[in-house]
Amino acid sequence: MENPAPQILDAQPALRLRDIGKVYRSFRRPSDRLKQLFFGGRRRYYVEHAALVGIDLDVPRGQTVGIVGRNGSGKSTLLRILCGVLLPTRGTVSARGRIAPLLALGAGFNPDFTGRENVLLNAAILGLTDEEIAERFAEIAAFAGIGDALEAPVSTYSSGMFARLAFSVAVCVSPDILVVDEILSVGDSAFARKCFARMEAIKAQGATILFVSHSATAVRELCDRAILLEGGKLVDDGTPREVLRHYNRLLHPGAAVPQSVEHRVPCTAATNHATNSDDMIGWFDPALETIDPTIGEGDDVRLLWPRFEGPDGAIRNRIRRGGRGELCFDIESDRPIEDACFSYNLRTITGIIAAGETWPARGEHLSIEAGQRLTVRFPIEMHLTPGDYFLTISVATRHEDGFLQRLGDVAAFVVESDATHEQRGYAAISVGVPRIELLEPRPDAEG
Amino acid sequence: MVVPDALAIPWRHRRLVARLARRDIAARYRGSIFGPLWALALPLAMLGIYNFAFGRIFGGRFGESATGDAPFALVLFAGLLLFQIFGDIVQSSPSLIRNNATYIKQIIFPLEILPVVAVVVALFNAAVSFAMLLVFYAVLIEAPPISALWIGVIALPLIFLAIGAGWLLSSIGAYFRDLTQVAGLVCTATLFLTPIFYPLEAVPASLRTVIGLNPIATVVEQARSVLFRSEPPDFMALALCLLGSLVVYFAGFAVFQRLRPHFADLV
Repeated sequence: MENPAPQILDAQPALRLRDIGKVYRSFRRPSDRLKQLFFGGRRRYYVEHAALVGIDLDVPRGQTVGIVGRNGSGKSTLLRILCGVLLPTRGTVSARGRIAPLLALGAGFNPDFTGRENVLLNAAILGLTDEEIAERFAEIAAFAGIGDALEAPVSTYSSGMFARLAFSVAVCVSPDILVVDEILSVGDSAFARKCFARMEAIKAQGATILFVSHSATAVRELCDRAILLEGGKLVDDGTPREVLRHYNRLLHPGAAVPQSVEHRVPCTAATNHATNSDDMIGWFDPALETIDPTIGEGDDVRLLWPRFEGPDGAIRNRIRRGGRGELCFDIESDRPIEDACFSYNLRTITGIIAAGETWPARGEHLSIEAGQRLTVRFPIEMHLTPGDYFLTISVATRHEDGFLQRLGDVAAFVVESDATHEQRGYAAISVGVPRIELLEPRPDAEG
Repeated sequence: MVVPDALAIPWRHRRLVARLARRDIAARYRGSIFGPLWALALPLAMLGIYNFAFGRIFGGRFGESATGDAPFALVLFAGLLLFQIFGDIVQSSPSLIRNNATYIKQIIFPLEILPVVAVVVALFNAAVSFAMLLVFYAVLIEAPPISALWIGVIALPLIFLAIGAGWLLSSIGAYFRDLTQVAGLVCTATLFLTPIFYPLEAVPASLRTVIGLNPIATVVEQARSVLFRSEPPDFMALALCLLGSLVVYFAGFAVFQRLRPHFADLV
């Protein structure tokens, strides 16, 4: 593969797919394949099955793209084509840089050989020179973290150990484009976390990543962009949030139909808003809005007016850290609800649930009569790290699965930064400015 | 560009070829109690069996003119070990692509070198057999003649032929599994159409030209000449033989490259 100058790399997408189509021919009998070869001009001896249809995709350098879709939607075929392992029936693929495909963990591992021998061979197969292998061996071994088992035959490994070693080798090639199929489901969660960390590191080095996963969390957490395949077609392309929502709709048809939410959910009903940005708890920012909330089907149970109220009853959506108040929403029900329970979740932009509650607890009974209206109030203190959060609320009954009504991402909140230094994560546990305490020199130290 | 690529690609991946060949050789003995000793024991046993069957029971002997007074078993073994390089490839190639499905479907891999690796493994086995042959030669007759060193040059056409056949059979075998059955037949037929169990002189003159078209026949004949008659090889015959082998080599490469994009659909 040629190595053009970096500025050309930047201008060109790392991957460019144009009108990619893949048709599998299935022959009923092996002899049909022979007949097709000789008499193909006159007759067709196979059944065609289109796995991909007209896929156009440009992936800029450094972008991480999640590919989601149901089983058989063409995800793996697409990955194989863009790795160059499979030839498309039509269309063109152009890729710039070294591609590392992780289509299956431990492809080419020989169970009779030791971990060390397999690492050496696999690294060579992946295209590393002997010098590079020698250079990186320690790193690979350290990442796998399987200790002395490295000298034992791979056939004696647990599936977790196997996965760790295989992943370590696969990512050691410092690829320009990393292509990962659904493989991180193996191994324990700690290892999965490590793999993601490694992928984030590869991403931070400017690599382009394409990533198939059934895990919505993984796609939200890792990807800048997601595409949705359905029946071999690219049906959605956008932010992970939007695409995953679309995907969910495919998976659970009818569960969450997007409608014009605005007139059904008066998010900003005209009442008392805190407008003073010097307020100790926070204030209301009318510009802050949530895009494309989801709303459950059916309208015999309605959730209305999700909001955060300060102790003074004024509504706020920019809240200072530690700000105390109540997360409230209203319920109207045309039907009686036995053993009702209410939930809220606060999600980050990437979809991680930063906080959430369900109330009342199982075993406590709360019933709503037909025609009743009520407000649920969750008292909270906003101990989340500064950033954007999206509110999802729901009502359910302990007697049925699923929700009676659920509004996804109906309100946005910003936790205002008060910090003088960087904080990470979701929970705000810092309660002050760090300080330094000077220690006496060690008595045994020289001088 | 078939001709330069056919030579450049195996050369570019020579280290990977060496590594894979080492792996394949080691894999054969891995887990067995005697390990690499088998590499010596098997040709030794074969040589013993030939000596018993053809030397003691048949009392066979090649024509004096062809091979001097060397024991029939040694002459036979020399031909057989060379033929086996080709035979191994013909037997294993039709299922080569199918047996390496992970390399085809899951990683980016220079598939062209798979048949090359198989040939290197076959060469290793032949080299061990050849070493055994030299030991027996020294024990049964005398120190092998210096002309035996020509064997390296004589084997060259055979190597190109084997790699070419490997490319051809492995790529076609990916499409048609029936080739596995045919290959066994072809292998046996070639074995008997090559003067291994008999000297070329034993062939009726009318058929000799037909046999002469078989490059393996030339290789075997020349090998016997340098081993048992202490004569330098017939370079004219070798050059023609090399030419024929190179045609198979490049044709095999061209066919392999042509069919290779579809392997992933087939396995």
